[in-house]
Amino acid sequence: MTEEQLHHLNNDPLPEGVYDAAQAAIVRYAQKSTRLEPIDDATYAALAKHFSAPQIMDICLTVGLSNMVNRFHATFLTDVDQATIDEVEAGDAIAGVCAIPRPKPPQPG
Amino acid sequence: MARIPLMDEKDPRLSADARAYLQHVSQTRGRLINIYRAMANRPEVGRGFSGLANTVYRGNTTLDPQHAELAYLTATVVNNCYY
Repeated sequence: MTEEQLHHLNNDPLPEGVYDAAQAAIVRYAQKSTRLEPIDDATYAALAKHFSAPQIMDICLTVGLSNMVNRFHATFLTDVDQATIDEVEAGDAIAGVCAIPRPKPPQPG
Repeated sequence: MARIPLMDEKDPRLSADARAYLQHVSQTRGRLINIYRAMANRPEVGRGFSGLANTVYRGNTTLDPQHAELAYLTATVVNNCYY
């Protein structure tokens, strides 16, 4: 994936020319599913145009898996490993700050 | 500071099941990160989680890697997850 593709994952509507049709179908679906919005026929049809039923199941359950992991961390405030922080900062120093936002861990209270 | 213990793979008091789970994850994922140390509070859940992840997202997924990663990352970015 390109830096630009990483940068626009939360944009709605998606910018033109950044994702191909199959990629855009996944991103739009993942946004709606994560926001618990109804999955309308157009959104599903865009997926079905590019992916088989088993593949759409994997897309659906991967979005669900990510949401589950996000909720796990929001619940248990899992500390980000220092090794991970070191690697990310080393990567920033080489290639500039990652296009994906890195929110600060929530403070208990 | 995590709200549940992050199981240390070097801790001699670790249960045999938690130790087996952490060793398995370390081998299959190549290293241990804290989500697995947290999951080790309940190794059965950890194994179930890894089973699902290896079926739909990694390993046995029907998707090519970039599509699987788009699905996973978009959700994480929309949720503004810090981890």
